Amino acid sequence: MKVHDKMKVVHSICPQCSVGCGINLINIDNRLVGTYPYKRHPINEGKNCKKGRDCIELVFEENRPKNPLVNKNGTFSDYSWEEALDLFVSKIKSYTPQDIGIIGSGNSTNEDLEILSKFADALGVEKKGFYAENFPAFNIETATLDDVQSSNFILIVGDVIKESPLIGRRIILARENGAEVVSADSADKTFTGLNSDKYIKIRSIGEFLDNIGPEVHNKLKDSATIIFNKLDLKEEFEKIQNIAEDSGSKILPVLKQCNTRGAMRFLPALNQEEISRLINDVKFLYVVGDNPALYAEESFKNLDFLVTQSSSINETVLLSDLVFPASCWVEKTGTFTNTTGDMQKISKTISAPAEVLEDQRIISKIAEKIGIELGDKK
Amino acid sequence: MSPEYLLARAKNEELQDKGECGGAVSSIFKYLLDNEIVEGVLTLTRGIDIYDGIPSLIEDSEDIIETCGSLHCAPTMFGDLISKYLKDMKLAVAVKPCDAMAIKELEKRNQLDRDKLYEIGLNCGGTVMPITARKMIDLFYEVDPDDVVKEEIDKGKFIIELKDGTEKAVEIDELEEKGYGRRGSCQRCDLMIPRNADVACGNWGAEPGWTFIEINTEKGKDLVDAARNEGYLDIKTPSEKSLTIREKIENVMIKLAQKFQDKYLEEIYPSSEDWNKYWDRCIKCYACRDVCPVCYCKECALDKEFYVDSEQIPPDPLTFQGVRLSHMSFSCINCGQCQDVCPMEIPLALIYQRMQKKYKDKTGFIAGVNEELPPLYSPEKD
Amino acid sequence: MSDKEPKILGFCCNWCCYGGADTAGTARMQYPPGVRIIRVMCSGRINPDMILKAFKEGADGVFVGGCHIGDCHYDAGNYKWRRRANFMEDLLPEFDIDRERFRFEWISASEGEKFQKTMQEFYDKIKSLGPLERCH
Ligand SMILES: Cc1cc2nc3c(=O)[nH]c(=O)nc-3n(C[C@H](O)[C@H](O)[C@H](O)COP(=O)(O)OP(=O)(O)OC[C@H]3O[C@@H](n4cnc5c(N)ncnc54)[C@H](O)[C@@H]3O)c2cc1C
Ligand code: SF4
Ligand code: SF4
Ligand code: SF4
Ligand code: SF4
Ligand code: FES
Repeated sequence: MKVHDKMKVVHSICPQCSVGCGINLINIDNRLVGTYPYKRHPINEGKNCKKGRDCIELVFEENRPKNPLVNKNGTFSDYSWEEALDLFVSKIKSYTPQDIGIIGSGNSTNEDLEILSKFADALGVEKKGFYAENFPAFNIETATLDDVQSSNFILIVGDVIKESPLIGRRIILARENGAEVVSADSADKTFTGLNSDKYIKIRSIGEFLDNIGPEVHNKLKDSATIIFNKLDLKEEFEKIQNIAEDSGSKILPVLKQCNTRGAMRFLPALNQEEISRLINDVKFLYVVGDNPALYAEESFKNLDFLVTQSSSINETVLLSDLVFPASCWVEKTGTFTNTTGDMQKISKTISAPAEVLEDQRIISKIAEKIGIELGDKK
Repeated sequence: MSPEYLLARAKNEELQDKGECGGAVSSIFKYLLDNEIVEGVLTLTRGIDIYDGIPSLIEDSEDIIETCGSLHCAPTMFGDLISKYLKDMKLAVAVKPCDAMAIKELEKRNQLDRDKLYEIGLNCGGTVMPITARKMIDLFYEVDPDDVVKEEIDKGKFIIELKDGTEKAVEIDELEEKGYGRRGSCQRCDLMIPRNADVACGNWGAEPGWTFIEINTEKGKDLVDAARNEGYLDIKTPSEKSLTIREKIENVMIKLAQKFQDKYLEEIYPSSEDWNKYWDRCIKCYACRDVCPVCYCKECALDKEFYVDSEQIPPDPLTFQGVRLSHMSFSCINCGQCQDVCPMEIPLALIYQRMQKKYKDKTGFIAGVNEELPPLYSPEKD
Repeated sequence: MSDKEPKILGFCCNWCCYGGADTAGTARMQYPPGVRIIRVMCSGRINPDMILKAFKEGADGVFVGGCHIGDCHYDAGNYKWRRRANFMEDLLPEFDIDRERFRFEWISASEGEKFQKTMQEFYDKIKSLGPLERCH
């Protein structure tokens, strides 16, 4: 009479943004049916935004590739792994490293990114990177969420409370404790502005940073935090860093994806222009876990051969010559580094459809077929 | 049925030892599984530490030992887990009063089959949010929260036991005055003994090593009798004194809860300006609705075109929270889950409990306790 | 007090109160111009969501009229409505809406005068309360 796996509640980390909230997933017979508050998690104490609680939809089968697919004149047909890998290898071998591009993603685990980066190195591919919007790679100490909550003054650039509600919560708690909050953005009004003491409509971030008035400047001290989730130019990061250093305040860059901060350790952080240029400059492109067609479609025209490894059918997949079906976050074990720099473990909770493989496995299989060494990692 | 009181403990020594009091609850679960009377037991297991209670469906009686003991820092809710995922299963479940209240409201709305369910009630003096507990142990006890192996609430104190066997205690009053301690909803909860479950088990009035059981239903009575007859429970009759003690503590706790209700729902209740500020924060994430065990509708009015006139946030509170309030606040059981999960720290349970209290005062309907649906649902004339 | 015409929404049941409004109309009894009537089949059709929606859309006052208790053409519709109305009286103040901005009455088809009088009273009340100011 024992029926196992009838219902299990398991810990996971939300893959939907860079905050790194904990979330409990409800698993019935290897299917995710819902979420349950993870109140023990120090980042969010059981609270998740809608996007976070919708994360289980990422696993649903209708919208994901379940077999390797080959695109022949606009129609995709199922291939076996053996055939698909052979096709990949024969194609990639026909290009010089200068003609090959590799794009990773801030949605992948650190472990997957490490292998991908080793793979690029082994092939001698230099045109590689991942999309980090306008954030440059950085390796500095940033504010913790507890720092945010205990700040006396918070300066926000961007609609942070709306876009990252579980950072928003810390800002709200700081405000309840008496902190003053000033926010700035280019819209007439924002949700963050509504929940700030003062909202400043700005023309550009650079101009705003260059002309911070005394009423804000005087309040930037050791118990102040500057939080920003967008930049117009990469250089502005350093500007903010300098302002923070001069005033003794802390900074918290709010990145886009669950592992953007981790990815910075393995691949160059590129903005839209740089990614477009990369794609433009190569003939063979291997995309792992990202959807560049969404923000750089123009540049795809020059490609001879596009391979996309993905757990969902997205715009880039539809443009691809070859598609590798990859597992998503609940189907593998690894780590994500959130926007405050904390590395958190995720564990395999459900098994992927039969022909769907983990990024690491796929990359290793390719490497093996090409005959290159990726070091000690399996 | 008239109440029946007894003291019980597990016959099995391991359960007796690992159980919170006498391991009676665990032993009843074991009896039900061993004899295939239920297909599963829904209860809590300890996750990464004592602050991490994870709802678990136990199907093998060997695993019951893993679930022994009370987790006071695990404000979980079982009601909608059953109605959403387990309603076809013959099930036994460990319920705090709020779990039992949720089950009652769901049962009335035909969302679960009470006949399939054994509700083993746990008396409850309140739960603490896990991270709040860790912070307060660090702050008031000056102890590393990771060194705590056990916690309990007794005689108005929150007591922790450390790895080295020492105990430390702080008055709950003091903790709560400073914003720590039990969740707000627990402070205001006046149902400590779940008489809406089949049996209510607790330590109040019990001798050390025994669980005090109040039998509430025929089903509960048959269950305890059978568990005793099959050799799972030792049973004895509690003394007059233990009954008196139990009653006394219950009354003190109810008075205290009512004092907190007066304070938080009236005296220092947020002003309408405060509420406007709270509603301004709402990101319309629906977490409050989705976690609420009483909000069970498959098609919710809040998703209808009629109310969703734009994706703009904050939503107009009148047609967002106002609509939800008008649908179910009279049935709110004050479990506090909506407030626990609100990313924007809006004190939702305050307004819901206040509305249910107003409704109770007018109509006498007590959500989670009364057998009937609230009169608002009634087809009758008066 | 404000000069702005108050916006009042009235839900009237088809069989009684709407008839009352009709009677008032044919007898040329004037009722205030800012009152908009929506005919519903029975006061039992009205639920709290509709009242909330009316206020959200900018009504300064909301009125609901049904048959006299005992006279509902659907037997118990107005009993059901009364229970909801009592609840609404408690809910509206939670959103800073004066409970006097919400009124319900039992008016039969022949009571044109009662209809006219009730509307005038309600109108005067709302006028004295001024426009409903909400920050959302
Ligand atoms: C939060 C909490 C507060 C309590 N407060 C009081 C009190 O003030 N007065 C009183 O007389 N008794 C209280 N109790 C009940 C008491 O602690 C014992 O659970 C009860 O006496 C049964 O003892 P036992 O040895 O038979 O239980 P055990 O055999 O140890 O079984 C206990 C069962 O409860 C489950 N459980 C543990 N924590 C929770 C939880 N948070 N929610 C739901 N299920 C849970 C366990 O998984 C296990 O199945 C409380 C219990 C809890 C969980
Ligand atoms: S804030 Fe980000 S990490 Fe947290 S629940 Fe929402 S999407 Fe997930
Ligand atoms: S409204 Fe909130 S407190 Fe009330 S029953 Fe629902 S979740 Fe519990
Ligand atoms: S808000 Fe109303 S319609 Fe929506 S789930 Fe709750 S009770 Fe049902
Ligand atoms: S949980 Fe909070 S923020 Fe989310 S919809 Fe409810 S009230 Fe709004
Ligand atoms: S028909 Fe008039 S109130 Fe029901």
